[in-house]
Amino acid sequence: MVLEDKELIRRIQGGQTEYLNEIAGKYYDDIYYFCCYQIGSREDAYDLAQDTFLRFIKYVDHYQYRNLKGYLLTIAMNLCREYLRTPAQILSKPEPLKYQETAALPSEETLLLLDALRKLPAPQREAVLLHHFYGYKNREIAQMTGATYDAVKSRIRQGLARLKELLRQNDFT
Amino acid sequence: MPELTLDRITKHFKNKIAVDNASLTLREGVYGFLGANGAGKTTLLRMICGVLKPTSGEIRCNGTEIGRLDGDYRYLLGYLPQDFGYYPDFTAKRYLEYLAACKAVPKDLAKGKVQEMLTLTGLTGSQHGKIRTFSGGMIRRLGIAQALLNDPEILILDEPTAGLDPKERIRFRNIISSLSKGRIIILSTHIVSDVEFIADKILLMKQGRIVKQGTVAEVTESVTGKVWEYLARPEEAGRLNDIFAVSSLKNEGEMVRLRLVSDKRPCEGAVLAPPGLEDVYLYHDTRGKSSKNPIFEEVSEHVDNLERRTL
Amino acid sequence: MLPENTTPCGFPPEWKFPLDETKKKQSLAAIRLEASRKHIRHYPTFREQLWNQLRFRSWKHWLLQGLLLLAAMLLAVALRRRNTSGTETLAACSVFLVFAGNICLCHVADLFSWHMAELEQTLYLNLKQMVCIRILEAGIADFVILSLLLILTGSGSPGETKAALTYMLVPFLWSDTLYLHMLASLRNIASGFRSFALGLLCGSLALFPLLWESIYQPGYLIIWQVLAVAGLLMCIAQINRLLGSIENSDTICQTS
Repeated sequence: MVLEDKELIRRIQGGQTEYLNEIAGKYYDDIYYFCCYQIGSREDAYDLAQDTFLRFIKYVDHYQYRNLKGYLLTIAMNLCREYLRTPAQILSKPEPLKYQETAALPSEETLLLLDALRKLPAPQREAVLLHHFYGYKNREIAQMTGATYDAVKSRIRQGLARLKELLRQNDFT
Repeated sequence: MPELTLDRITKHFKNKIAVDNASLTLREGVYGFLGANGAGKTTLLRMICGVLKPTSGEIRCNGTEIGRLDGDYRYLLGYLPQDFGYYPDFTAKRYLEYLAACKAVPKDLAKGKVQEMLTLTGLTGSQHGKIRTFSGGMIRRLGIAQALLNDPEILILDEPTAGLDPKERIRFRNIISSLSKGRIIILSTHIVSDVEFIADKILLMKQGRIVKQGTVAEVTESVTGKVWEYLARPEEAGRLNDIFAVSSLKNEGEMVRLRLVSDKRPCEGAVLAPPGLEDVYLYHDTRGKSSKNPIFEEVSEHVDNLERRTL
Repeated sequence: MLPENTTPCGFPPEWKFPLDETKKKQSLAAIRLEASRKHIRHYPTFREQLWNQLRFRSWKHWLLQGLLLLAAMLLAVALRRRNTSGTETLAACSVFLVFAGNICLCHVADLFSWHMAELEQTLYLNLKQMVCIRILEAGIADFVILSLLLILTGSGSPGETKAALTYMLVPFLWSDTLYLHMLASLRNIASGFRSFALGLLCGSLALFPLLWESIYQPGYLIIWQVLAVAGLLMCIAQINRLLGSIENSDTICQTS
């Protein structure tokens, strides 16, 4: 039986903490991809996705249910910002394209996309990801990122244009 | 994991000093406060619970004064007062459900938690009975059940075994042992055997001061060489009992085996014995006191019929 | 919702790629561990707390209060039907309201049940908060009864209603003051006896004005108003004192 988010939260806040795992299972991938594209590291994204849920668990007592996925993405976004702010990360080179043992390597296109997104300024990247990948409306993104509606709109527009430009340069089809 | 710090706690009542400059740090584990009635245990525990405010000094939980933590502190707390109050018209179940609500136990969990506690304390069968019909031991067990309702990280039990029969006492000790992980348990008693085997740390209180603290081994260490055994004739036993602190009397045929606590050899023929916690208690409690303490008197009462006294 | 694995604007069809299952499992295990350690902290809302205090009231309380409300309505209707004089109506309503006040405050007094106060003071919702909540509830109940009496007996003109309100409030406020005072001072007396004795005492006091009928004359209204204000202030002072005695808790621990 699949429970609605609202019911999951109600049960968790009623003390049944085992349902936290259900939430983690349900949204792990979404959060992982977001972190991955946001920071450009497929390795570290696992840690960030994990930290997202740990932070969610920490604050879940106070959480007032609205849009769970959006809330998780907001936490992830903040963690990514912290990650990117740490000087060591900015200096680090793009990850070498090494083969991983258990997972198939992402397609060439995905890797190019990952690389192109890295070159966008962080606010534009956030906005583009949330809008075009996750389908959030401008107003929702404004709320999540704490930017004004107009700022979000222009970030999405500029970000997308720049992204397309970068991909074209890389002979992206 | 909470950490409780008592920083030079003093409590005055009108003209009496109930607790005198007590300092302590409490972390995970079971703490046994031992002391005669009126030694200041109850006052100290009431201050730790936030019911009484210290005249001077501060009690801190994880570095913050407990009054400032307010509800956040009480949320961690489970308390069994010495005189445990109840609503006589409530049934045991309803009483626990009411307290669960006041303790902010989540509603979904409350019902289950109440049943769990009733089972733990062996009150499941009488849960629909009114509290006014309960025996003293049942009321005490209900008190223990309510203290545990919110899975407290700081559990404070004031004379928890008062009114319990020997079987219930053993059950209580097992409950406490099983709970000791990850929380602070403070229990006060004047019955040594209540804490001897389950307390990680013993705190001996006398006249508002903590006179001795440490593990059972550390505390008993302090009276090594002061505990004596002596086989006496009954009339001699009576005489020794008047002069020395006697921690046990045992009938051995015509003779009486006495266990005495004394700095010096009490009489010719007395031999040193390995000390126990009870001896420490007696040693500290009778020193510098002209009148005998209640337990001591209790011993005297038994001199006539010379029964094996069990504390 | 977006179709799975596609993005608008001609983006690559594949932005999702297979995850490293081992890593994901490790991650989820760490989350599982944290979830198992998590101790949910429940913050009851104010409404929940109000309800909790009501929920555990005994049926006797409810019955008593229900009967009270019923009696209030009957009284008002009867008075109106028989066309009794204004003075008698006022006196009857005053006495009635005094009883109502005492019965409602019973619920506050219950909190000081045998040795219960000390334990209650250590609960998340502590004694002080419980007292506040129950006084609030008693206040609301009294207010309902008072309005009912006023509506049913009122003659309509705002001036007269105001005067009637004053006449009724004076004994009510003073008896509540007395009740609270006794609660703070005489906590050891059995609560049933206390309530009964007090109710009787206050009720008879409220009948006193009947002896001097002229006291309900408009000329004396100013005295009534002064008494009402004084009663209100005293009542507040008593509540304050009660809460203060809880805060300065030496008195709530009864040493046996």
